[in-house]
Amino acid sequence: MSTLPVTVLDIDKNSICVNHRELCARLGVDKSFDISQYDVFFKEALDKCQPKCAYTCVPIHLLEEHVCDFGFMNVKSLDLYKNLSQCDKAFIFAVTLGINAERHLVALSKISKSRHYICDAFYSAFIEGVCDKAQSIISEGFACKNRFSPGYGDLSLEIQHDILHALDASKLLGITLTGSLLMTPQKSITAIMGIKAK
Amino acid sequence: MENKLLELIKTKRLFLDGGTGTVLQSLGLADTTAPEMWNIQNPDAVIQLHKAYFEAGSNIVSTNTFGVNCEKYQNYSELIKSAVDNAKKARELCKRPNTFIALDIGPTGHLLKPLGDLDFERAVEIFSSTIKEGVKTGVDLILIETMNDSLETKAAVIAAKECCDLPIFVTNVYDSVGKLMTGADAKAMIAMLEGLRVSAIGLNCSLGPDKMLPVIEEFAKYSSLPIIAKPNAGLPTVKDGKTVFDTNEEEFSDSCAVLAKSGACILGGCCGTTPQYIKKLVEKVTHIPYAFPEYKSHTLISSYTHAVQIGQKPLLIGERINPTGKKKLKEALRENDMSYILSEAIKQVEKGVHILDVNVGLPEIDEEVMMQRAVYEIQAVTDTVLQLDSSNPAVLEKAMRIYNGKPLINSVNGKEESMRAIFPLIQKYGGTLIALTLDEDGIPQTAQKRADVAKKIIDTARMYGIDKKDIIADPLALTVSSDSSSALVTLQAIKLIRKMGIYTSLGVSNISFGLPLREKINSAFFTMALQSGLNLAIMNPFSTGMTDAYFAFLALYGYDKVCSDYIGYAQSFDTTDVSSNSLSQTSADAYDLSSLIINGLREKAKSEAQRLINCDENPLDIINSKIIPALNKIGSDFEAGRAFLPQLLMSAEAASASFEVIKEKLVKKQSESDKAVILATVKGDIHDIGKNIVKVLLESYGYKVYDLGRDVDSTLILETAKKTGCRLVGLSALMTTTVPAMQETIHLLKSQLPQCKIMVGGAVLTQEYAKKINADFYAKDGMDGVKIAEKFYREDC
Repeated sequence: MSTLPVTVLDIDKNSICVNHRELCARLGVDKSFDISQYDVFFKEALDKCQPKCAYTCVPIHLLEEHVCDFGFMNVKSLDLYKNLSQCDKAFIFAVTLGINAERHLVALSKISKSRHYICDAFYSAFIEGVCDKAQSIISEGFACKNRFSPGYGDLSLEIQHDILHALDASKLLGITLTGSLLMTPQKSITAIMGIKAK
Repeated sequence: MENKLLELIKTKRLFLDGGTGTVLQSLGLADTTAPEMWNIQNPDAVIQLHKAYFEAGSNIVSTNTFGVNCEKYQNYSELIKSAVDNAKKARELCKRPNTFIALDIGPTGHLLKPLGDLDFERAVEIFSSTIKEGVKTGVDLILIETMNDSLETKAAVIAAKECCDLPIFVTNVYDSVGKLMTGADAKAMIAMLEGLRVSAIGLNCSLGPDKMLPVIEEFAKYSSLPIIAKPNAGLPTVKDGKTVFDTNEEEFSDSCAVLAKSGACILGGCCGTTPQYIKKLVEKVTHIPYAFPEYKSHTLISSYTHAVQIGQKPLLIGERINPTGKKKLKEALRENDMSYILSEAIKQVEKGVHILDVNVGLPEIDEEVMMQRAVYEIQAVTDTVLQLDSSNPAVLEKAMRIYNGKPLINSVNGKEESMRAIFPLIQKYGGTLIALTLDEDGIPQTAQKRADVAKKIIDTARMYGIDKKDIIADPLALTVSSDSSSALVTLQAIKLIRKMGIYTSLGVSNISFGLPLREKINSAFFTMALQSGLNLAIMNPFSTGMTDAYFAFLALYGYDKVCSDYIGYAQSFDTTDVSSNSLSQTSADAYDLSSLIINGLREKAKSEAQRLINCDENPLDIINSKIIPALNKIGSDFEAGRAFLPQLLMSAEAASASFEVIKEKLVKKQSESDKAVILATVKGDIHDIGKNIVKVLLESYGYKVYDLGRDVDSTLILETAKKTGCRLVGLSALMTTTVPAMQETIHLLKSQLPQCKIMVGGAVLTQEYAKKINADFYAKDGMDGVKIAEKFYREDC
């Protein structure tokens, strides 16, 4: 259980804008392609989503040798270090589409590979939209850097464990990690968002 | 001798403790230190914590072991021992009577298979190691708490039952709509946990006491066990960088008093609560009259989301996952082809069955392994309750152990041997039993004697602590073709058994064995059986005669208010192609099979293929002149960028569906079975999209695909290659971290089966990389995979 103060937000799924270009890219179709023919699948997928976010805010210290100290973890990463320059605090957050979306994906993978593919693409685009929405809610009133996720640049996936632990994400969001550091539900994102020092 | 705690709870409300983290933080625990570390680093503070709760009025305090397990801590044993010792010291200092120490067990932090990657038995091992240590040091009960997944809860309970005889208390985390994170509602959890025979059940964390009320009311309605409520101090909010809860001691204890009046027998607090909260709670609640919950006679079975109550309107059990007399299912089982079984499951659910029978017994397969796999996989695609069906108790045990919920079990009978084997399984894992009314003397000829066998089974079950509500009698339908009175005997037996207050089940279609046009007899008998009081029918939901009888009966017998189920059923005959709702047809010859395939219209393509077959068109001609050209067209359009991957996949599925229809008419050639590919996403990787694309495309070209799924052990791939004789293996990996597993798999296959060829694909792979890890072929995309297979088998011939 985390001892950091964590806030949980239910994100209104109807407020999410799915980026058309992103969705086309995930589907592997040209952006002029008529994706509305898959609306029935998108709607079915959307029905299963319960987007949620959990976040906390921690002071950060940039140490020598590109080590960022978040209090609950020390992370060595040049790219993150650069991203967090001029920052003295950071939001740590995680978003997820929830376990029902995961179940839907797993079920589709076993019964229709094409619907699975289309639904997976939709969820991938949708979770980005959820992340954007969460970011805009959390960062309101703060001057923030772009979010930075484990796996970007040289930022190791190994820190997923510390981030999810700090956010108590297993209990609050139902996000767990597999042995190979993948999140379940798969359609989940964790990120660090630096707050610029005043 | 009855356990002291369990004796006490019969007459007295008990109090648990409150939050741990909140109090330890106030004693100086830093944000960065895990509370359990203080068991060793600062035992005085932990003793102070427990002592404060005992002094506040808690009868039970939980050890500071929520986050301790053997996966997280090498020194878990020392941490647990210190934790229990600290609680004991606190108890000695207080010297209050009727105080107990609960070994606190929290979740592992991992999600179990099939959604996550933690194996059920590994979860049992993890919990067992904790529980053994706690029991050794001398706790009074096991408290499994803050569980948000039903299957993990079950693993913890089984571990506790296997390690000790202490009382087991279980509390789960419910959200504001009364469900666990993984979907179970209160009724489903009550069914499963009562089945597992724990001592007390309830909820903790997440909600404040006022928000817990609807869930507590649901517990009070269905639970015969003492109910636990351990709410948070309201909702957490963050103020000035600190977590604060919005309910003070006064409000908390007032709301807890309402919970107590609504049926909560054991109360305490969770996050945000302190000894002051518990003190107030005890003050406010102690005077409220206490009553142990009344016995509830509902017969409940459950899945991981919901419970099904037997004894209200009659329910249907789909019989199609049972190999008896089903050639295709037998073939699928022999070939380990789960997709056929899963599609049978889904189709039956779509037909409206409430329960799915699962029987995978065939002499030439390992039924234990297959049954476990079938249960896992079926539960991954549907939340329908399962009836686990086997004549082998060892198979039933394997399935009951990992089943997520409380299953229906088919079956026990009146033979001593059967009851001795099956009843202990119900005691250990929970379940409702179908009891066949036969015994050592065979099947009784008269209705009364069958009812007598049912009574014998119920009486014997009682000695094992199994209540009659968990026994459903099957008075056995025997064919009227050999004995014209057999239907009447069965119907009479249903009535007699129902008069005894016992529910009934029947394999309805046995009545017509040996007769022509069986559906006509079956459906008439079904109506008669329903009229006689039948509660459960094992039947074929694809038989229109049977479903007609069922929905008409419900409407006529007052089970279907305003005939809404019947109208819904009637409307289901107005079938449309699901995919055609959304996918436009662009050409005038849209009904030509090739066009239907190119447009990805699966159901229409399948119907058209069936029509062509019915018109006696040559199956090979259909394949060569319609299916293959359509696939080649969409394939070349895809490669030229004129068509895209979703279209390619939908076309491939339409082609596969057509191919399935046509295949039945094809004379099987020897070479056909050789055209096969084993596919797997390697160990550690759960991305299976790429592998799935290759599978669909290969199947559309008529390949037999052995799809081993994702996160697959190299040894399973090797065994499958050995068993099937298939010499082409396709491996997929999406992450750099899992490519070593791919390399290891290739190494194993090459060393054990040098004749095997391996193609690899996935986002992180390149031609060079594939070569480096010793793969034979690299497929840049799905179509490339097909080309490789085509070339491999061409050169092979």
